[in-house]
Amino acid sequence: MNARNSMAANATLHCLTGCALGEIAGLLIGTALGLSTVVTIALAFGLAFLFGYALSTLPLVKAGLGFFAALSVVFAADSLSILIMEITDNLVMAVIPGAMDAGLVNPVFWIGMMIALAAAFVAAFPLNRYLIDKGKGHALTHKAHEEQGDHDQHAGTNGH
Amino acid sequence: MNTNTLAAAIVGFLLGGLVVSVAAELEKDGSPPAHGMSDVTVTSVPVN
Repeated sequence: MNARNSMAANATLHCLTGCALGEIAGLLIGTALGLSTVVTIALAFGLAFLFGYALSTLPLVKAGLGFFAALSVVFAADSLSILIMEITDNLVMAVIPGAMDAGLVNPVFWIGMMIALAAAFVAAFPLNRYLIDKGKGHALTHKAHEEQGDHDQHAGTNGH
Repeated sequence: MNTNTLAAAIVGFLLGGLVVSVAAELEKDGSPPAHGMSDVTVTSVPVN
């Protein structure tokens, strides 16, 4: 795998981790409380963005960047990737028969979740590859880390 | 905690959920054991 594909794969995995945490939490809460499909998707969407941004912002803040400066870098870098992931993820869950209505003790829920997250990775990878080529997306996060003199630490702790 | 560890934890969580839900489904079905004779049904035949 060439360096840019590897960087895009790492960036996508990084995004997907945050998205998955929020998405799983949202769907677990929505399913456990018996919320409607629309409300559950909205909850999962919101939590995915929250976790996705948090996972990228915290390392930048730790590296010494101000909170709002870090947040603005992350907004620019991650928003599109998280959006694509969330659309794909929720669409796949909605399309799999019974996945949204399946209870937590129904295997369909867990299998659906695995398929949806895998599809989200596949959907977001080309976008991250394109953004890195253009010096945008996660390339912005890397640049911010380099400016903080923290690139090696970032590479070591975040899988980039 | 680095991203790879978190990703591995998520995969483990999903697999764990799948295993538990499959076990719950099997329990709910009340399937008889695949071996042994613990569920032998005894019937009586009326004698004329």
